[in-house]
Amino acid sequence: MKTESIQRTLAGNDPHGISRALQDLTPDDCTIVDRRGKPVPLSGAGYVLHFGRAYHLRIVSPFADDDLQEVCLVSAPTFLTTAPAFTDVDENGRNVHVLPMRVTSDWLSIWSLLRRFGLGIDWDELEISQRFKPGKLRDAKPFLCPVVARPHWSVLLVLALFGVLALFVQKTLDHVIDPEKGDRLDALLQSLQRWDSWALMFGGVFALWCLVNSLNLCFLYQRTRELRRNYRETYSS
Amino acid sequence: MSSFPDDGPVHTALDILRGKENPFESLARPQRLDDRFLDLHVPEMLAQERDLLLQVIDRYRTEEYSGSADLLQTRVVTVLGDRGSGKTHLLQSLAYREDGKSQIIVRPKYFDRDLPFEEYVLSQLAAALTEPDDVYRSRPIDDLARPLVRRLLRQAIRSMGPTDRIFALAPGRWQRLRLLWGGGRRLDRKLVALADALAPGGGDLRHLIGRHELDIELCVRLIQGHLRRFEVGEGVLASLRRALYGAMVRAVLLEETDPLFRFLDGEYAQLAAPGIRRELAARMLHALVEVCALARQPVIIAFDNLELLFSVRSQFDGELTRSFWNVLAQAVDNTRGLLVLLFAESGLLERAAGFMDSFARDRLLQGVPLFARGPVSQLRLSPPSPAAVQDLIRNRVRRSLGPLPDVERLPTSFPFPAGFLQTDGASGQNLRNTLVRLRDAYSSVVYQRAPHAPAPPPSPADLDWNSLLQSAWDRAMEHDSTPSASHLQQMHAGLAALLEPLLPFASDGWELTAVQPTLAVGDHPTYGLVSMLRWREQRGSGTCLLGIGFLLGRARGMSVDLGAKLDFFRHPSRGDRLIVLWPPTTEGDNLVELLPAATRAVWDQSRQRSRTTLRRIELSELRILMALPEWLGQVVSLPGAPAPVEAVRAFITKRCETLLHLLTLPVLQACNDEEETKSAGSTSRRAFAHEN
Repeated sequence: MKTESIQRTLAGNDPHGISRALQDLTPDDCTIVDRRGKPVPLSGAGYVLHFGRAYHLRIVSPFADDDLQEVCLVSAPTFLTTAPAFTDVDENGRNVHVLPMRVTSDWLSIWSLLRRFGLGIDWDELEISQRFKPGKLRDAKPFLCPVVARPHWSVLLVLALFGVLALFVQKTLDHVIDPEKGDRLDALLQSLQRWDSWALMFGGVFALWCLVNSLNLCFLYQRTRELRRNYRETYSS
Repeated sequence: MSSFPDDGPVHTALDILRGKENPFESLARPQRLDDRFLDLHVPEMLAQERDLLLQVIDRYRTEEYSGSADLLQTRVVTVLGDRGSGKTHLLQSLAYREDGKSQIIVRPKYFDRDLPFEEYVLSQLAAALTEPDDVYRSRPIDDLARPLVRRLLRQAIRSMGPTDRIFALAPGRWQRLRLLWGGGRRLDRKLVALADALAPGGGDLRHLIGRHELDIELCVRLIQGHLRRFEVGEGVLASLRRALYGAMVRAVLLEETDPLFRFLDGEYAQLAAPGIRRELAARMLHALVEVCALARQPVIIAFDNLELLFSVRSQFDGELTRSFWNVLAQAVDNTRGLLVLLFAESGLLERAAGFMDSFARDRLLQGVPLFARGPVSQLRLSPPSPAAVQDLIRNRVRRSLGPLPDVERLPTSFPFPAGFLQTDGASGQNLRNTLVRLRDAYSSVVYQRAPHAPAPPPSPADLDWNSLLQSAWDRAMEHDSTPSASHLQQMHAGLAALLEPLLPFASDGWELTAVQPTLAVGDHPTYGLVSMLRWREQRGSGTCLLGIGFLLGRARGMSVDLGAKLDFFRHPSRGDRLIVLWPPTTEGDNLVELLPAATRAVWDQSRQRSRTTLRRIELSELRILMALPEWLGQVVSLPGAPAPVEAVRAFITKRCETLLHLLTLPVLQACNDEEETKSAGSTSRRAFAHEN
C-alpha cells in the first residue's frame, strides 16, 4: 500500500495559552463580490452565486502577513473552480486576500445540465483556512461560509425556447395526424402571428417558470432550515 | 518667637496659620490603611521608593497577553524600613496612583503553614476580587469582567458565519421567505456593526447593545455558544474558563452577579473530578490571574504585617517563619504573574532571615529586573532628605494658607527660620520622627507654645490594657464584609486567633491543648477546610480530636460544602467529632430541618451524622472571627506591646463568650458520653471474651 504524508499543526509550547474564545482566529471580514466588485446578495442559505459567473472571495485576516503562509479554500465545492489566491487592497484600504472562483457545472452530466437550465440549485460551505508559516506555532479553525449557486435569468430564456419548441412540436404532430392541414412551416408561422398562440406559450412558460422556481425555493427552504437548525444547536441557551 | 524680619506678608501669613490647625499634627500620628489617605498624602515623601516600586509593579502589567508565557515568573520584593518609616503609607500610596493605572492588591492578614500556596493565594485573591475595593469603591471582579465580556461578544459575533448572524436576529416567517432570495446583508451588517463598536475602551456594554437595537439575552446566548465552540475540551482549565466566563457574562449583561460570586466562593470545584485538589486550585488561580492579565491588572500579594504572620500567641515562631519562606520559594518556582511584596521592619527581617535556607534564599533574592537597573529584590526606606522635607513643609503650609496673594514672597522655609532643617535635626530621621519634630517646631514658631517635654514611655503594667484592646477591637470590627465561602481561610485563622491565646483552655472537665488553624479534608480546595482542636480529659486519659467547619456554601454549593466537611471522616478519619457551624437565614430550633433539600439529602445519607453536630452561628459572630486576625495585628502594634497574656485572655473570654460556648460544651458532652460508651463497650467486650 502506498504511504501518505500528513501535515500536522504545531500547537505551540504553552499548555496554558489564552482561551481560544478570546483570540482573533476568524477573519475580520469575509465577503464575496462579483466581477465589478459589487457584493453578492446574502440569503438565508448563504451567499447567492449564479452559474457561469466569476466571483472574488475577499478575506481580511486578523493575522499579520508575516505569519500567514496562505489563505485558501479547503476542498472547494464541486460547482466552483478556484484560482490561486492573491493579496490586494480593498476600497477601505485594508489588505485583503482574494480568492478568485467561478461557478461552473459539468456539461457532461445530465443532472448538471438540468441545473444549468434552471432546474435545481447547488449549495455548500466554503471552508476558508488560514495556514501559517512553519514555526509560527499558531493555528486557526477554518471559517465556514455557506454559498448557494442557482440559475440566473437564463431560466426564462430556456423556458421561452421551450415554449416555441413546444408549439413547433404541436404543429408537427397536427400535421402528422392530419396531413390535410397544410404546410407545417406555414402553420407554425400562422400560429406565431396569432395572439392566442403567444398567450398560450407565455402562459405555459410562466407556469413552468413558477414550477421550477417553486421547486428551487423548496430546495432553498430545506437548506435554510438545515442552516437554521445548525445555528440553534450551536447557540441555544 | 518668629525669627523672620518684620515683613507684611509673613505677618499676615502667620496670622492666618494661627487660626488654623497644626498641619503636621495628623501626619505625626501613626496611620493605618484607608484613614483619610488623600488628606495626608504628600507625593514628595518617599517619591523615589514609590517610583521604583511602581516600576516593579508595571513589569507585571502585560501589554499583550497570549498565554501564561507572557506572565512574568512570580518574584518577591522586600521593602525594609524602621518602625515609622512609612511602610504602610507607601503600600497605600501604590493604590492611589497618579498616573491613573490600577492593580489588584491582595493584603493577606494571616499565614497558614498547613495550606499549599495555591490554595492560600486563591482564597485571598477570590476574596479580594469579590469585595468592594477601598480605593475604587467597586468590586474588582466587576471591573475585570466588563472588558472580558466585551471581548467575548466581539469574538462571538466575528466567529459566526453570515447565515448564523441572520438567524441570530430571529427573522419572522415572512422575512425568512424573503431571505430565500437575498436581503440578508442588512441583518448581517447589524451584528457586524455591533462587533465593530465593541472595540476596547468603549462605554457601557448594555447601553451599546441597546443602541444597536439588539437583545441582551441574544448576546448572552451568542457568547455561550461561542464558548462551547472555542473553549473546548474536558480539561480542568477549559472547564473552569467556560464556567468563569459564562458567569461573568451573566454578571455583566444580565446583572446577575450571584452565579459569579457563588462560582468564586467554591462552586468552581464541582467542575473537576475528585482527587485533584491541588491541581484544581492551581488551575483556578491561573484562570483568575489570566483574567487580571487580560485587563492589564498586575496581581500584588502584599504582606504588610509580618510581625503578626510570624507570631503565634504573640511569640515569634521560627518554624512558622521557615514555612513562610519555603512557601514563597515554592510560589516563585511554580506560579506566574504574582508579585509578592513584603513590608518588613529591618530588625524583624534580620531575625526571620535566620530561618531562611539556601533553597528559599536563592529564590527570594532573584528580584524583578528593571530596564537599566537590573534585578530589584530589596528596597530600603531611607529617612526623608532635607529637600523632601522642604517640599513637605511648603506643601502643607501653603495648603493651610489657602489663596494668599503674596504667598510667592514668603521664604521657602516659612514658617520655620532659614536653616531650620540643618540645625533642628528635623531631617535625617525616620519619617514619623521627622513629622513629630515638625509638629512641635510648628507649634513653637506659629502658636508660640513651648513643645511638650516628651513623656517617658509608659510601663506595660501602667497601661489600661482593656481600653487599648477595646479600641483595637473597635477598629478591627469597622470592616463590614459579608461572610462568604471565600473567607473560609480567614475565619479558620480567626478561630485559631481566638483560641490560641486561651491555651490551655478548660471547660467541663476537658482541656483544650492544641489548635491547628486549618486542616485540608477531601477534594474541595475551598470548602474542604476544618480547624482541628485537640481536647484532653482533665481527670482521665481520654482525648478528643474535634474538627470545626463552617457551612457557608450557597445554593447548589451548600450541599457540596456539607459533603466536603463530612469528608473529615473519610477513611482514614481525621478526628473523632465534627462541629459544623452554619448561619441559617430562618428561625428554628432543629437546624437539620432548616437545611435545603439537597443539603438535607447529603446529611441524611451520611453515616457520620451521629459524630457531627450542626450548630447555628450568627453572622455577627462570623464577622468577629473574620476580624480577629486584624485585631491581633492591631494588638501587636499597640504602644507598650506585647500586651500581657492575661489581659488578652481576659478580653477574649469576655468578648467572645458566646463563640467559645458554641465551640465547646455540646460536643464535649457527647465526647464524655462516647468515652463512657467506649469504656462500657470495652467492659462488655472483655466480659464477652471471658465468657468465651
